[in-house]
Order: sequence, then C-alpha cells, then structure tokens
Amino acid sequence: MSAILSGPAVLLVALVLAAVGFFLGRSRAIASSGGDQRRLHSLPKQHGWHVALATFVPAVIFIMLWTFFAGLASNVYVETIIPGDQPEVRLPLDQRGDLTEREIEIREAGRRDLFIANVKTLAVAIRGYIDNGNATFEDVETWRADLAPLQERLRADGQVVGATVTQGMLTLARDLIRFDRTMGWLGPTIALAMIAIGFLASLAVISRDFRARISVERWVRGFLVFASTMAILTTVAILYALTAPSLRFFSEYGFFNFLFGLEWAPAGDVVGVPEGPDGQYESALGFLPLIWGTLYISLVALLVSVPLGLFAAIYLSEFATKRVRSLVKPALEILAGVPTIVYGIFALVTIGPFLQAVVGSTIMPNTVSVMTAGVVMGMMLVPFVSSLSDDVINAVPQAMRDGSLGLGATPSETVTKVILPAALPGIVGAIVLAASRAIGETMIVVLAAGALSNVTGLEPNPFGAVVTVTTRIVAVLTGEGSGFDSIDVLAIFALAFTLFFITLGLNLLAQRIVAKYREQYE
Amino acid sequence: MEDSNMNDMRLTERRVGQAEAKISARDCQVWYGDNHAIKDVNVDIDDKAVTAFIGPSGCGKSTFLRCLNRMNDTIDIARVEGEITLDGEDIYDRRVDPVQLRAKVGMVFQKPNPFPKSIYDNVAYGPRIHGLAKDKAELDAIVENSLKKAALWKEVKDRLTAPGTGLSGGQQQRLCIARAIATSPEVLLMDEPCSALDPIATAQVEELIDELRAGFSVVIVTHSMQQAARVSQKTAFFHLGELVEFGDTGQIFTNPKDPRTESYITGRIG
Repeated sequence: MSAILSGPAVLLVALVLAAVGFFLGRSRAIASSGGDQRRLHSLPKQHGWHVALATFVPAVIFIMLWTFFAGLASNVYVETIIPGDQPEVRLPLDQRGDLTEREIEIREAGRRDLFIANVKTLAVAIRGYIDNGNATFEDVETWRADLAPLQERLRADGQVVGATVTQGMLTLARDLIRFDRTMGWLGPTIALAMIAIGFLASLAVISRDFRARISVERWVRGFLVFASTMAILTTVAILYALTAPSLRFFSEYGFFNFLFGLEWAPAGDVVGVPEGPDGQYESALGFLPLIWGTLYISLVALLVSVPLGLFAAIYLSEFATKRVRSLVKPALEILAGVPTIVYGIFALVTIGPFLQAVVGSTIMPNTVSVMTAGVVMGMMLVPFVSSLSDDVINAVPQAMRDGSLGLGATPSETVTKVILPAALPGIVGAIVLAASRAIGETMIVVLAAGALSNVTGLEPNPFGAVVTVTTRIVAVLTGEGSGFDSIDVLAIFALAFTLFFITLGLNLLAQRIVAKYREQYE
Repeated sequence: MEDSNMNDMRLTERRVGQAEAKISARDCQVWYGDNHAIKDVNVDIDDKAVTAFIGPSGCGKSTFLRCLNRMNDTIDIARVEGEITLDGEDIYDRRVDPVQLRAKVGMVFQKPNPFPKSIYDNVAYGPRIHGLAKDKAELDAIVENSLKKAALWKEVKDRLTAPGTGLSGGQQQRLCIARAIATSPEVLLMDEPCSALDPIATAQVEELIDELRAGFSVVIVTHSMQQAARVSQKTAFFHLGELVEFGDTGQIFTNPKDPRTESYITGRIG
C-alpha cells in the first residue's frame, strides 16, 4: 500500500496511463469520425496528446509542489507543537547565575533550536528503524524513553542518534512521524485522483468537434511558462534565503556600521549578546576593506583582460584569415573552459613567485597579492571579453567596412574610426559583464589574494595582500570562524546579499547598454 | 516594344567628351575560389561620361565593378587576373597602394551605408583620413562643396551635426555620394545605387549622376534598363561572367549586335 503511495510510483502510474491515454484518445477520435478522419476538427494524434497531457501534467506538477511544501509544513509543524514550558528548553537554574533576562532568552532560543534538531534526528532514526522492518509504527506508540534501552536499539540498527533521548523528545518525534505519514499518503492519493479524473474526463470529451489542437497548444504553452517560472523562482529563492539573515544582521549590527566600517575583525560574539563595552559588538564587521580588495583586484583584472581581449577580438574579426580564425577561436574558447581553481593554482605557484622575484620582497612581502590575483583573473577573462567583443564587432554590418575601405581608409583606420565607434556600446556591455564576473570570482582570489582574517583600512599597495568579499565568505563558512549563532556568520549573509545586488546591478547595466546598441542596426 | 523607351533617350545629345579611355581592362578574369566569375573581359571606360553595366543577376557586373577599385582584395577567396589600367597605369601592379587607388576611385554601394556619425563627419571622413584639408575652414568648404555637388546641401545645411543614419533612404544615398565625392576622386563607381530607393529618390539620384558626369568618370551597375538608357552614354551587357556587348547606349538599346543582348533588353532572358 505505502509503496504505491509515493512520489516515484505516482509518476510511473501517470506515465503509463498517459501512454495508454494517448493511444486510447487517438483511436476514440478515429472512431468518433466514423471512419473519415477529415471530418475531425483536430488530428487523431492531437486528441491523443490531449489525453496524455491532461493525465500527466497536472498530477506531476501537483506532486512536485506537494513534496516541496510537505517538507516546509513539517518544519513549521515541529515549531508549533513544542510547548512553551518544555523542560529541555528551559535553562537550568544553576546555569542562570547572574545572567540578564535578555541573555537567558537568547540562550533558551539556542537550546530550543538544538532541541528541534534533536527531535528531527530522532524522528529520522525511528523512521529508518521501522523501514528496516524492526518494528511497526504501532510498536513505537508504546515506547517509553526510560524503559527500553532505546538509543542502543536504534544505534544497533545503524541509525544516528545524537543526544540522549528524553520522553519529551520521543513524544514530539512520534507526533512528527505521524504528521509526516499523513502528509506522505495524502499527497500521492490526491495526485492519483487527479490522474484518474484527468484521464477519464479528457477521454470523455473526445468528439468529432472537440478542438484538441487548441487544447494541446494551451498545454504546451502552460508547460513552457512553468519551466521559465521555475528559473525565476530560483532567483527569488536565493534572495529569500539571503534576505532574512541579512536584515537581522543589519538591525543587530547597524546597516551603516557595516557598509562604511573600515575594519574587518570577527571576534565570535553571539548574536544578540554584544560582548564589548557600551553594548557594542566586539566583532568589527566593516564592508569597505573587503569590497576594496574585491574592486582593486577586479580593476587589475580588467586592465589586463580588456585591452588583450579587445585586441584579440579585433584581430580575429578584422585581420585574421579564415584559417587562423578557425584555429585561434576554438583555442580561446578552451581557455574559457578551464576551471578557475586551475587558474588559482597557476597564480599561486607561478605568477606570485615570478612577480615577487621581479619587484622584490620589500614591496611584495608575500607571493599572494592584488597583482597576483588580478593578473591571473585578467587572463581568465581574456577569452570572455574577446568572445563577447567578437560577437558585437561581427554584428557591425559589412556595409560599414565596405564604405570605409571604399573611401580609401586602411583596415586599421576602418577599425578605429568606424567599427569600434559603432560597436562601442556592445563592447562596454561586454566589459561590464566581465567586471561582474571578476567581482564574483572566488577560487582565484581564495588562493592568490591573501587569507588574512583581520584587516583594517584599505591596502593601497598593488603588491600587498588584500581580503575580498568572496574569500571571507568561503573562510567563515568552511569553518574558520564560529558557530551559526555568531554575528560573524550572520555578517556573511549580508556580504552575499550585497554582492548579489552589486552583480545584479552590473548585469542590468550591461543588458541596458547592449539593448541600446541593438536598436542601432535593426 | 522598346521603341517608346528609346524616344526619351535624347540620342542626339550623346557626346563622349574624350576619346582617351580613363580605365581599360584587358583579358580580365576573376575567380571566387573555384568559381570563374568573370571571363576575358575587355572594356574601355571613358572619362567625363557615364558607363552602365547591365545584365541579369549573378552575371558578374558587380564583381567586375569591384575590380576597378580593388575592393575584391578584401575578400579572401577572390583572385583577379589580367590587366586593368587607370590612366595607363596597371592598378594591380605591386607598387600600387590599394588605399590610394580607392581614394582616386570612389565607390557608392547598393544600400545606403552612412556611418553612425553626424552628417558632417560622414562627409569629412575621407578628407580627414587622407589629410586633404589643412584647417577647419578648408574642411568646412570641402564638406559644403561635396554636399552641394550631391544636391543635398539645401536639405541638411541646418543640421550637419545630426546623425547621418537619421536621413531618409534617398538622402542617405546622396550623403554617401557626397562622402565619395569629398575625396575628389577621378572615377566614381556605383553599385546599383538606386535599388533601395523609391521612384522619387531614384529620379533625384539619376539627375545627380547626370550632373556628376561633368567632373568624373562614372560607372554604374544597374538592374534597370530604363535607368541605363536614361543616364549612360556607354553600356556594357554582361551575361554569365562574360562581356557580351559593349557600345554606345543608343546602339545597344536600338540596334544590338548580339542576339543575347537583344533577348535581354526585350525581356526574354534575365
């Protein structure tokens, strides 16, 4: 029973019935025409498609949404069923000491989060225990935390049990399992009903005059709209994931303190418990030194990539013979496909030491620096810039070249006086896109820009090490810093949030410029 | 059938100013890759006269026109053989700079192709790259003069800084003619200059071509036989890459010697 009532099984049923429906619909349509297909409004196969789509699509979309929202609902449910006076959540008296009301509140919130996590883990463990055939759900209803050696039994079965199981945890885990079970059969049942209704209803409407062709068109359009909506929803989901923590950080730390702070020195303060004097956070979480590092490196990268990429594009589109072009263009495109971590290694082991040898270790104390990362990132962006510029230069009509050459201009005069001015907006668009890639680039800077965890002020020396937005995100989230209750981690969300908007803004700008360019020749 | 057309051709006015040929081609061949596009063309183009190239699509007339200022050099796979001389000098000689040649042999294209710059800058483009004006005043004079010769001055004199691409199709084509004139060429090549224009703009450009004859040797490629009859003194008929017949326009249209020419002008091939 429960085997049929699962997402994959429903999908399979939908698929099989849709296939059956296609053939049934087709033959019914042929039958309804009384032997002469020309009397049908739509082709038999369109009738078939109509049945297949009506059977398959609504149920499948439903089950996808259901799976997603059932997970959400389970999380919300667990939050609501915990009683306010749950003993495991209360801070024990001996730990309260001389803590203020607010500090107790914050610690209890932490305990609550931990408790919820434990409940969920236990629920997963029990479900796994049942699935392995060791007990039925009815057995579990009779379990008590203090009776049987519950933890040992679960662990012996290979389940993960973190904390000591208490009776409160067990009760809540049982509630959660019950809720999930209900959701687990309810969704697929509704989906099966939808399949049945879709199948029967769409077969029933088939007649000589039924306009299946128009229906199928509508199904197709609906499906395409669904696909593009999913892509947009991803962006919305990213924003959603970043917005709440960022706003919390801004309200805790102060938006302007963050945006114009000149120092980045995380100290591991717990969110809501500033440890410094005057109720300030000890952590200094200023955005400026990080964005300075990011923009400095991006600037160097653009200074390298824009001239090289642009000149390469001009050479390829205006001067190179077909043969050279057919060799060089794919080579450049291969360069664009090299993973950035490989560029990072190249920067670290080759470019960094080389630069240090050239400028001397007084100016460049480390092999990691703005120049190391910037130069290599510039190399990475050369194919990007050249490929985009090549496209816009090729979009300049041949008539412009003919006109200029026909007046006795040399090829290079033609390029500088006619082609580049005409392609300029598109080239600027390409540069802005390259800039937004440089700002978001991570692996090269992680390896080659420096990994200081504390910075004060803006490093002016191009051969000095800097810290960028992306390197800090990587460092804090891969475990250098403190736990998730720390203000430093919350600051990371704010960094990602700000970075998201900077690159979004740059991409929009680039699109506007490119769109303006398109108007010129069409 | 063609008689009615012949009536307004003013046959008596056809005077060729000079006997000396401005451009002559001897055994000219053009290949595009393996395709033999122009075969054994011999032709003499007079100075101070309009020569029309006519023929069905793909007959090679535009290709041949582009040989006269070496525009075919810009196409990788094109290869030109034979001898083409301008004032007795071989233009395919190693010592000839195609850039200088093109300043002497201006070109106007099928579709008006003004640069996305101001009207002034469009006309000043050639004089600037060739350094023809020693100061701003002289450049202004060249621009004004060229626009006047192209019969466009009156229409644009108050908006010389407006973009050239904002003009109407006919105005754009006259702007391109002004742009070509501004480098003071000796020969003006026109590749179907009216095919993208409406009848009124066409009439204006044709009138202009007739006036230009006074100062230049004009070669025009056209699809319209009426146009060839109206504006040219000499006509060359191309067919399948060969120059079938070449002679005075009146003779070609009234008394063609080759049966293929007759078929074409009476509308049987093409």
